[in-house]
Amino acid sequence: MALSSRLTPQQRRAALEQLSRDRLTSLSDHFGLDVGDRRVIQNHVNAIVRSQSVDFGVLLGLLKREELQAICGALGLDQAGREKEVLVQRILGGSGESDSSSGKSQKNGNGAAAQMAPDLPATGKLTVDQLERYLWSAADILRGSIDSSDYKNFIFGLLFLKRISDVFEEEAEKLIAEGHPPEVAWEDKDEHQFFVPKPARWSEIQKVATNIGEALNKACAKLEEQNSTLDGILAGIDFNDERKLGDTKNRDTVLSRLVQHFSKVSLRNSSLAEPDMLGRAYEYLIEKFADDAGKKGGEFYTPKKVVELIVELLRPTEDMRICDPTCGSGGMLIECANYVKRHGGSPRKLSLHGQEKNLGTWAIAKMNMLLHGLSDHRIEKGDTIRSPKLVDASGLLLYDRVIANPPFSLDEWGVEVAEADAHGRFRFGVPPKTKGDLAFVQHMVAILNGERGQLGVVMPHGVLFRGGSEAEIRKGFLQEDLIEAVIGLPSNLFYGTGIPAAVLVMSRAKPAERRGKMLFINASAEFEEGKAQNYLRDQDVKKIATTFHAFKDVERYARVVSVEEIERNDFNLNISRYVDTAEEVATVDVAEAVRTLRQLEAERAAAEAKMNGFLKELGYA
Amino acid sequence: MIGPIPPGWTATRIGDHLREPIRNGYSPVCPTDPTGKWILHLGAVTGDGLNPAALKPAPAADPRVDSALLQPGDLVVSRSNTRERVGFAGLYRGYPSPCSYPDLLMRVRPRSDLDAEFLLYALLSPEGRAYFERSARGTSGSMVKIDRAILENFPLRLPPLSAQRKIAAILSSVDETIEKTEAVIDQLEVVKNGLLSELLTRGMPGRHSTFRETEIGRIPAGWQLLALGDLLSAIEAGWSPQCEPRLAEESEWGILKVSAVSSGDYVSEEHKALPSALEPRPEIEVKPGDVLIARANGVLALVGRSAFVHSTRPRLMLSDKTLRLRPNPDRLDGFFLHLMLGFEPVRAQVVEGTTGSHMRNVSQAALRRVMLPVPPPDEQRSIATIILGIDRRTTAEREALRGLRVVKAALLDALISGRIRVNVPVQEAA
Repeated sequence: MALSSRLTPQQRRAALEQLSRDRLTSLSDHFGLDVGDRRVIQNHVNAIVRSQSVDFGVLLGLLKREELQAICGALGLDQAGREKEVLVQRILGGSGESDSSSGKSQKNGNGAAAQMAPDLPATGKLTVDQLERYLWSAADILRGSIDSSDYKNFIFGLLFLKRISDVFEEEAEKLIAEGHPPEVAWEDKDEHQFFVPKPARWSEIQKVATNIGEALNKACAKLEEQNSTLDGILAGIDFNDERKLGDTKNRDTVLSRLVQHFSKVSLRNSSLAEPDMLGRAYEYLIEKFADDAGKKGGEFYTPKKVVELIVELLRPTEDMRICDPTCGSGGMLIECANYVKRHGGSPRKLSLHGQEKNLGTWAIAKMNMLLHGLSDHRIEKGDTIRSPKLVDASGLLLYDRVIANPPFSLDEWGVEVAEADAHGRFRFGVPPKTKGDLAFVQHMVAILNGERGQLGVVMPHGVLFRGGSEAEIRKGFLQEDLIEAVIGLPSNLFYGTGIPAAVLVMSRAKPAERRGKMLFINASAEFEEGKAQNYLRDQDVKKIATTFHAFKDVERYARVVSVEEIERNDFNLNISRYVDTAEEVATVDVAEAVRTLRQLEAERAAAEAKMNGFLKELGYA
Repeated sequence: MIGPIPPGWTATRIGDHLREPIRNGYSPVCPTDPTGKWILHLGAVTGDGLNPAALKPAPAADPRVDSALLQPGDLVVSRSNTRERVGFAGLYRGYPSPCSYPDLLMRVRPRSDLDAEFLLYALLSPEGRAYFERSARGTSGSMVKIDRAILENFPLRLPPLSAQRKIAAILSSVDETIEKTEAVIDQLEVVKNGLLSELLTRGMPGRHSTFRETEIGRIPAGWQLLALGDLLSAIEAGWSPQCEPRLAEESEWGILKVSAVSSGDYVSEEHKALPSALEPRPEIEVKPGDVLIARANGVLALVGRSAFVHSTRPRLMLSDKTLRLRPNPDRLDGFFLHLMLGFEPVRAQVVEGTTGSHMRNVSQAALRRVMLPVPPPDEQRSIATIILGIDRRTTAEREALRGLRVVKAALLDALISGRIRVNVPVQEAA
């Protein structure tokens, strides 16, 4: 079952559509499915895709080699190979679960995971899809033995090392081809974006057979030594960590398999089908790990569609300075860059700044930016409330766009620093000790510039109506006319929490026609329902963004509200108070319902009387 | 093969009483929008006859559809299905029209000496079902088939036409009583929900004239809005040891499953036996009057569902996935609490309080924070009494329904086999 679950329903559908009707009929019969009209191919496909009882691995095992090859083709996989098993594994997207790849095989060294990993094309360029699946299959080498939140850093670290080393070798070879002497090509720092000293080169790392952890730690240290821009990124990863990777023997086994795994894929620019592929694959890994952790209620990660939504609301342009004060792995900043690129701008002109408290996450963010080719960024380590690092001699740096998803209702957010804050950030009021939400928002307001500064932030609904100091802060925001829109999102969008969130858009420079007004959007009813979680769809994101930019009423969805009306409501911003999505609830007319009941009772009495008449006739009293 | 033949009845087979040969249907590719022509869905035939709602639009101009139109009085029989369903049948009474039938159904058009309704009951009777299950063929294990010959050879004990009609009339009078009772039960649910939402938002009729806005909506001005935690004297958690996958004997202890609670009604049969090696914990035994709530479930819609224990067998314990809420009796009526937990503005808060994206869980702390509209105790009891009255009535109707189904099954067997004879005027019976 674990195998089949790797294919999305769309992929399974695409696979089945390669098969003949006769084959599909035999499969439906094999699995005992009720398909309706059996002559319609689509009925078979639907029945198989929807059935809970079909193990796709078993299904593939019933097919002929030619059919499996056709499926490989349809899924964009390599079609070569004679062994059915190899083809099946390729379609299923990698190795089995931990049963074979962890414990047991760690001891036999070269275990199942490495062999079962998806085949890489021998020639030609990698597609994003192949790369993503190959990278994710690295996780199988470590899965089971340790928690994914512990091992992801090893994978991110090795991937980064491999990429830097591959690009370095590519650059060096190119220099030689251009006629430079080898010592210049391989040793002159000025000729490279990142200079990779010999012990950090992948070709050297591959040669190490024992004490690999130590060798990797050294390689990372040397690399950082030679490249100040990489300072601290890899230092936080201890490849020699006995607690996470076991004793020396175990560490050598696992690490050598990881190194071998990464050795099989070339991450040179010339090997990648698209230039920003690696960044995308990296983000895919971040999301997969968050998904993994989310199932256990761990990690906090902003769903991609929510990030896209806020960026669509803020419409960044290439000349802007943008900051995410709780940047996590950097997804929001990168989406800003993607947005600029999609709209014909040059992301390299952006100033992208961020701050992140968790050191491991900070390193991931740095690598993420670098792998996206956004080398001109500034991501600081540290606690944004207690020690804001994005400052210069004159104080806090100011930005055109500030975007964030701070932790919901953070306990211990730093109330002790708020009253005497050197930057005067909390001028609207000090939030409650155990709810940091409006501390982050005030920080964000404080770093907006007065000319065109605008922020978008994800908040729990509580900040819209809670009393006490939070009510005072809201009042302050409204009196300065800072809030531009309040957007209610569907519940259950985020990993690990069912609470519905809202997006606040605030602006230091509202256009004249929006002054004294704000837009409420109640988008809580429009989403796709998932099993564990709900999702925003493209059309939902688009509808919210379009509505926001139009700034007009939309029946049962959005309403422009004056500050006076909000004041009359004691500065309560609860969305349902302003926009009610509920269709006129068809209140059950109880009197009518009871009349119907009486009518049915009378009909039942008649039927019963007739039945009783017959029963009596038959001799039953 | 066929039992004794009552005097005046004949032993025969369907094939000898057909006006036209048995025919398979035709399955066109169907449009999604109505065309005015219809085709039965495969699921239209059931163990209780035709489900006339299982229909889809048929192509408007397909000669093969037009050649497979049903006439009132035709029967359709499933020819390929699981073993439990093959031979399921239905009687087409002329609605909707025109209507055709799909490839996997067979049409039977009986001659005038065989009453269609009698034939339907014969096909669905225990003897009829046994014949199909015995005769069906197939290698795939799950899907089996019957063909035209099997259907033609279906053995019939055939009484004179007047007796056939009488038998059909008796059985349909029971069917109709069952149907109407089901409708009464459904309507009781409608009445209950209507009353409930009126009572929980506006209070007892005539008692309130002013209302106030709160964070969970409008409530009567005389009601309070209080945190559940302030209205409870305790929340108790259960225990989930490894249990045996069977019901507990009367003298044994058992542990309730989440499904004992998650439907909204307390179902004591949803439990597993506690292994005899384990010491029971009498302090978590469920007792009449308890309010139970599902604390954790993989399905969000089932988390926070509550059930009120009207009565229960002894020696059943709470599981770890269920909590018992102990209301402070001076402030909160237990049954009223159960009603409130199902009330949308309250339930929404419980859902918001859940954590975890795989196994959804609501913590005791989150439950304590849920805000409840709280009427004075006497008004809580009045509301509870009204709803309890409807619930009791529904329970009684369900009991009656079970009884009717038993009667139907017994009569179907006895009348079709001829073990019970029906009275028909002598001259016709001859």
